[in-house]
Amino acid sequence: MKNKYFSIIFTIALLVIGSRANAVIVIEIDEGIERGIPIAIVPFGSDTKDALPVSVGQVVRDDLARTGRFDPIPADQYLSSPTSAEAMQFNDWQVISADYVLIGRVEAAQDREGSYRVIARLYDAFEQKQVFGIQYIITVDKLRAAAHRIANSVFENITDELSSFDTQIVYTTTIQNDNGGAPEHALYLSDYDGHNPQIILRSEYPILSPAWSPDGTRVVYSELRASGSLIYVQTIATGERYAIATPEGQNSAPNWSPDGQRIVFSNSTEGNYDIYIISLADGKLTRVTDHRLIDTEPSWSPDGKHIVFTSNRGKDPQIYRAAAKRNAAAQRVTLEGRSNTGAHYSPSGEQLVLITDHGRGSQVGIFDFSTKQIRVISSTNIDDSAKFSPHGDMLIHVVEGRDRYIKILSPDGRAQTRVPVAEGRIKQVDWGKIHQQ
Amino acid sequence: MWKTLVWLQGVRTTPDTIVRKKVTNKFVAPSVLLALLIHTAIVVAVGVSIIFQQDILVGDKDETTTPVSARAVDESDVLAELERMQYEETLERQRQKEQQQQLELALEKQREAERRTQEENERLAQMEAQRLEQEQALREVEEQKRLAQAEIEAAEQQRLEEQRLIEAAEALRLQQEEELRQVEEQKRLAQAEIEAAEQQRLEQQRLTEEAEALRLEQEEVLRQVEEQKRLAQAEIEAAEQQRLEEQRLIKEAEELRLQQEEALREIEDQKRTAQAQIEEAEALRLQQEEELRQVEEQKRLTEAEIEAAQQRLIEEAEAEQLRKQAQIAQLEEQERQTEEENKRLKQEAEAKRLAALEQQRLEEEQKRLEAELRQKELEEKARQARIEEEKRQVALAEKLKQEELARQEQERALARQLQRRAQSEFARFIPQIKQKVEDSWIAQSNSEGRFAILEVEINPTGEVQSVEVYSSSGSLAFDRSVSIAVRKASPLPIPRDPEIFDYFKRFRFEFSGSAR
Repeated sequence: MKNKYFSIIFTIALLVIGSRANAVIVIEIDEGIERGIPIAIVPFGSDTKDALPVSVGQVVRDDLARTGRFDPIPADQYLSSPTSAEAMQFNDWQVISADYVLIGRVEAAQDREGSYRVIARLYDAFEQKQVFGIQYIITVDKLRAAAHRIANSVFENITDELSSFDTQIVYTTTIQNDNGGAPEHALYLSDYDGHNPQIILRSEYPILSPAWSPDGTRVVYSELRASGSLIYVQTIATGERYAIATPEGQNSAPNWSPDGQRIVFSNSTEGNYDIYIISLADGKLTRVTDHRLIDTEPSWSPDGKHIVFTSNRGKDPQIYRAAAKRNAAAQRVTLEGRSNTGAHYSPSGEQLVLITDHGRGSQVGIFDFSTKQIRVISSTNIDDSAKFSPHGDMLIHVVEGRDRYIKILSPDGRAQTRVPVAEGRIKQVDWGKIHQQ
Repeated sequence: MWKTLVWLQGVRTTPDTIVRKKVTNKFVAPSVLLALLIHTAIVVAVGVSIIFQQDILVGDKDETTTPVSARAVDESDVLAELERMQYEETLERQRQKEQQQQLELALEKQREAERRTQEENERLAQMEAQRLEQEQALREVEEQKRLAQAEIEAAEQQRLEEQRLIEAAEALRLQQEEELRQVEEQKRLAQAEIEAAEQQRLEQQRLTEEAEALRLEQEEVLRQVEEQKRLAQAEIEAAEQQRLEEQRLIKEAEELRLQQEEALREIEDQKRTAQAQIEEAEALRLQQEEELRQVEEQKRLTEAEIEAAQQRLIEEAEAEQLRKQAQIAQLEEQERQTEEENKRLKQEAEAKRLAALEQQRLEEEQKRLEAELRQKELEEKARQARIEEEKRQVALAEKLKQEELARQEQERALARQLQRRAQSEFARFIPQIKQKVEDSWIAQSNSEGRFAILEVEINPTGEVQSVEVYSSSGSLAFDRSVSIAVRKASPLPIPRDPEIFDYFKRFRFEFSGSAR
C-alpha cells in the first residue's frame, strides 16, 4: 500500500514539474467497498379507482434485495415521493445517499378497457440523469410479471448482468392426510418467489429430485416405489408423463444434458450406485462409471462435456468429475472438507454449488474451478442440494429441520429470504431455466 | 502300463498334497505292483527252466557225440540209439512244444490279464482324471466362494464402519448443532454489540463530520476575511500609490502653473489697467461705503443712545419729571437735529444709491472682463492639459511596461515557490483524497478487468464541480458507478491554501475493477 502511494506521488511530481500550474493529478483507485448499492424505490402512484392487487414498488424492492447486490433504502427516509419526472428533486435523494431512484405509476390505459399502463423511470441521483424509462400495457393479472421485468431492467442497467426475477421454480411436497391415511405427494410450479403456485402432479409415491429441462417445457423426477424407483419425464403444459426405460433397481437423481436430449441418473442394479446416461430419443443406455462404491447425484456441465457426481470411493463422500461418455475416468474435484456432496454447475460452468462439511455441519458452499477452493456462503443445515438461478444471480435450496422451508440466497450469502410453499412439507426444489412468456 | 507310469509320473509332478491323497486313499497301485511282480517271476521261472533244459540237452549231446565219433562201432546201436535219441528228441520237442503251447497259453492268459489290467488302469486313470477335474473345479468354486466371502465380509466391515461413522457424524452433528446454536447466539449478541458500536461509531463520525464541516466553514470565513483584508491592504497601497502620483502631478501642475502665471502676468497687466479703473471706482465706492457706514454707525449709536435715554427716562421718569420738562426743549432740539440729520441722511442715501448704480455698472464691466479672462485662462489650461496628458500617457506606458516585466519576474518566482509548496502538500492530501473516493465506491463483483478514467474539476473548497468520463471502461454501469463514487466523495480533502489551489483543481481518477 505504501509503495503504491509513493509511486503515485512520484508520478504526480513528474506531471506537476512538467506542466506547471495546469497540472492534472492522477489518482489510481483499485478497491472499493463491499456493500449493496443504495437505491430508493418510491411507491408507485396510481390513478385507478380500485386498489391494485400488487404493489409494484414492493415487488421490485424484494427482487433486488434477494440478490444481495442492492440495499433498498426504507421508504420512511424519503423526503419526497415523486411519481413523475417533473416531481423529481435530485437533492432529496443525494441527502439520503441514494445512488439511484426508481419512480413510477400505474394508470388505467385510456384506449384499452381493463388494461393498465405501468410506467417506470430509473434515475442516477448524483449525475442527475435518467438511466432508463419503460412502460408496459398489461392486464391486471400481469401486474406482478411487469414488476419483475422492471426489476430485471434495473438490475441489468446497474450491474451489467442479467437477473432471474421473471423465472419459475418447481418443488415437491408431502401432504399429510387429515383422515390418518397415507400421505400424498405433490409437484408444484410457481414464480421464483413462491407466488402463483400451481399443482402439476399428485402421487401416492414420494416424488424426488425434480429437474427442469433446459427448454423449460418438461420436468424429470424419480418416483420412489418399493419395487424400485422409476424416472418420469412430464410435459408441464399438458401434464402428460412417461417413465423412461431405466434398468431395474433404484433409479435416482435424474438430470438433463444441456441439449435436453439425454438424462443422466444413478442406478443401483449392480448392488451399488453407478452413473448412467440414457438417450431420450432411442433409449440407448451408456454406463459412465463402474465402481464398487457409490457414485450418485450426477449433474451435467453447461458445455455438455462433463458430469460431476458424488462418490465415496475415496472413503469420504467427495465430488468427482468424469467425461460424459462410456467408462469415463473420474478425477476428484473437491480436495478440502470432510465431505462434499450434491454438486451443481453455475450457469457459467466456472463454479459448483455444493453441500460441504468443514466440521461445522452441512453448509452451502461455492467451489471455484480456477482457485480449487470452497467458499462457504450459508451455515444453515441442509440435506438436499442447492441450485443456481438461471443467471447465477441467486441460489435456492431447502432448509432442513423441524420447520422445512425454501430459502433464496445471494451468491455472497449476504441476503437470505424465505419462499412460501403452497401446501404440505417441502422436500426438494429446482429452478427453471427460462424467462416467463 | 505307460499310461499308468505317465499318470504316476504325472501324479508325482502334481503337488504333494494331491500325491499323498492319491497314495493313501487308493488301493489300485499296490495290487498292480503285485501283479507285475508275479508276472515277472513267472516269466523269469519259465525262462530259467528253458535255459536249464537246453543246457542239459547240449551237455548230453556233447557227451553222446564224443563217444560216437570216438567209437562209431555198433551201427545198429548207434542207429537204435539215434532212433531212441530222435524219438526222445521228438518227445522232447513235443513236450517242449506242449510246454511252449502251455507257456504261450499262459502268456496269452497273462497278456489277456495284462490287457484287462491295462484297460482297468485306463478306466481308473480316466476316472481319476475326471475326479481331479471335478476336484479342481470344486477347489476353484471353493476359492471363489472364499474370495466372495472375504469380499462380503469386507463390504460388511465397510458398511459397519460407514454406519459407525454416520452415527458418529450424526452425534457430532447434533453436538455441533448445539454448539453452533450457542455460537449463533453469541454471534447474535456480538452482532448486536457490533451494531451498537457501529451506531456509536456512525454517530461519532457524524459528529466529527459536522465538526469538520463547521471547522471548514469557519476556515472559509476566516479565509474570506483574510482575503478581504488582503484586498483592502492592496487598495490602501494602490491609494498610496495614486496619492504619490497625484503629488507628482501636482508638482508638475505647479510648474505648469508658474509658466501659466508668467503667461498670465501679461493678461494680468491688462487686467491691472482694468483693475486700476476698477480700483478707482472701488476706492470711490469704498469711500462712499465708509461714509455710509459711519452714518449708519452714527445712526446705530444714536438709536442706542435713544434707547438708553428712553430707558433712563423710563427709569427716571417720575424722579426727573421736572428735569424732563426742562429737557423737553433740549430733546425737541435734539429731535430737530435728528430730523435734520435724517434729511441729510436721506440725501446721502440717494447719493449712495446713485453711487451703487455706478458701482453695479462697474462691477458688471469687471465681471465681463473677468469672464473673458477666465475664458482665455481655461483655453490655455486645456491646451496645457492636453500636452500634459500626452506626456503622462507616454510616461505611464513606459512605467507599465517596467511594472509588467517586474511583475512577470515576481510571478515566476512565486510560481516556483508555490510549486514547491504544492508538492509537499500532495504527499499529505492525495492519500486522503484516494481514501475518500475508495470509501464511496461500491465495487461490483463483475468489475474485474474493467478500467475507466474520469476527469474531475473541483472548486477551492474541494467540492466536485464536474465529472467527465475521459476514457470509458466499455460498461455504462461501471462508468456510472465510478462517477457516482467521485460525486459522493465531494468535497474532496484539499489544502486550505488558496494560493496552491491551482495545483489541486483538476484530477484524473483511474479506476480498475478487481476480483472479489
